[in-house]
Amino acid sequence: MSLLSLNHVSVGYGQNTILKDLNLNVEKGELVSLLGPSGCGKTTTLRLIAGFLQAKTGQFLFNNKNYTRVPINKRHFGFVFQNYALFPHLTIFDNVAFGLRLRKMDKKTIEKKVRDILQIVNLNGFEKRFPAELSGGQRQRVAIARALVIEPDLLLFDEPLSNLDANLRIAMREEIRRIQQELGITAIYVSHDQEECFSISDKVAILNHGMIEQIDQPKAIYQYPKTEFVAQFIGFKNFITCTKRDIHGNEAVFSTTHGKFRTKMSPGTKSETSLKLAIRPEDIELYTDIHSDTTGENFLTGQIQLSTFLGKSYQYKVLTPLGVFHVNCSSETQPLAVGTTINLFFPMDKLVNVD
Amino acid sequence: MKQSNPVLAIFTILTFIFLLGPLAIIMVTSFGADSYLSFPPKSLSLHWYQHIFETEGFLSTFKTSIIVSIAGNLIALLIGLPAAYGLSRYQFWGKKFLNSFFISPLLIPGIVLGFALLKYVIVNYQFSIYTGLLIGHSIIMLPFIIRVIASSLANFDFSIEEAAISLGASRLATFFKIVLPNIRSGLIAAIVLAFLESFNNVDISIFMTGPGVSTLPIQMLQYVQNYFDPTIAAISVLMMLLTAALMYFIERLLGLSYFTKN
Repeated sequence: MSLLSLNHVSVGYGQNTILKDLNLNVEKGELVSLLGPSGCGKTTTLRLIAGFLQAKTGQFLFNNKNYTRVPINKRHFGFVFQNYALFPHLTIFDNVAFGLRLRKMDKKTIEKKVRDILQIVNLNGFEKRFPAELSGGQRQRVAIARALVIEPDLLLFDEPLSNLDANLRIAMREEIRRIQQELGITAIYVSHDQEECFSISDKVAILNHGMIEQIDQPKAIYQYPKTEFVAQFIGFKNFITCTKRDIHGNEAVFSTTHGKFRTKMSPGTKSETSLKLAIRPEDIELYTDIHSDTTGENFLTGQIQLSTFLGKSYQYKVLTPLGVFHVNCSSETQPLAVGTTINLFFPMDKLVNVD
Repeated sequence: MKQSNPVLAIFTILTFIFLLGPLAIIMVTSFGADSYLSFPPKSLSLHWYQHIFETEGFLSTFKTSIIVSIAGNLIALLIGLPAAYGLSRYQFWGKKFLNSFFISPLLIPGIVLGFALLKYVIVNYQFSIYTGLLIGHSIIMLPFIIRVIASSLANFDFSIEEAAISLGASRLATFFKIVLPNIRSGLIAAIVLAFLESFNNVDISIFMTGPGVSTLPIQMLQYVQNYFDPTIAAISVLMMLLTAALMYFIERLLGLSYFTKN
């Protein structure tokens, strides 16, 4: 039994549905990210779990108890806000001690707990300062300490790093992961930053239009996106629409109007009707010499329409009979001229069948 | 770089004279020894200040004014604070109407409001004059309380309220421990402004006074109808001082809050 499960939850205002029939299971000790474009319902899901929102239908189970109607202040969850939401009129010590004082702990215990947690987030010595005197990264660490000190059953992060600059974001996400693992706390993390989610999560759930498209380990999602939306979201730019699929053991051959494509069957069986193939721009190989070895299965001929310099690579826009493909090539080689006829090769293990 | 414009300077000085001149004249007259208002006074004395305390009615009406202003303030706060919070925090049907409704005592002429109160509160429903006075003053204070607190709440980040609740605080505890301390300066400004509005009010009070119940401004009005000595100037100076002290207090408070925030 999972620690947390959302069963067929929907949320909406009036005619507006934000979440529809959402299911989510989180195991104890896991860090699960909710990732998706803005408006996909990730923050709504988090706020629903926190209790700021009520589900229209469905059930929220936590620790085998029905939490659907439990008020926020009785849930004992920690919430880390995007804008930190520190109490401006209280010192750092009082900010962190706020939750403990509500739990009627004695002064000594509170002092020890606050000191210990500030140690964990590397902020000892800041007790007497006010939030306005701290930098963004420090404020966010106070916010994390404040949420952690009550030893919550679940820690919720709502885009906690999006107000920080790039370098600090990377340092802070490592910090969050370290603290989460050190304390063995279960956490749900909302972000629109793919790299951030992939780097710190045990599992990533990709949301679109109020539904989870795919939930899996980061690497599994990265390699085998299940749907076209997920593929697109994580950087698959090229899609081939096929007409027929034949399965031979653990391989499948897809027919198109211009040639056949052979792939490995990806884990998680796809329905008969999923006839889409996806591939990243950097996984397509490009050949300028066209002969019999570079035609046939998994090859496609096309013409370079546009060349863009991306820094570590060139990106070519290649027009083929199956549409336009984006292909990245190392920038160390001589760039190809617009108009050049080339052959594209789609490696079998990089071509993914998606819904 | 500052540029001086002589025309502008003259206008500014004239405006100040226009605004403050009468007050200066009253101040000077209040120290005159003559038994009638004269400017400039021939000789100086503090006699008329002493006379305030010797004249029957001024001290007792001052007490009434203070009690009504403070009690009315409490009533207005009790209604206005939750109203301002609700209007700032939530979106709901009829919000615009309620917003204008709570401001309406400022738009309706005081005389009309005073008369309406007299007609219904005192004549129709037979409440005591004192109750009527209190109700009237609460009503005119309400727009100040709501407006000033609401503008303070407009800058309040409600996510810190959510943070407090997520840490286990009840809604009520959150309001007192988190919301109130953060709108403190607005709250005090609202109380002081409402107090001044009530303390200096004539148009409502004039309908709500009667045998044994009167406010200081009404008592002053009655006094000048009968006497023309500098007592009234002396009281005016004292009232100006009270108002100035309170305004200075707000200025200090709001001025300082700009440095502590952000």
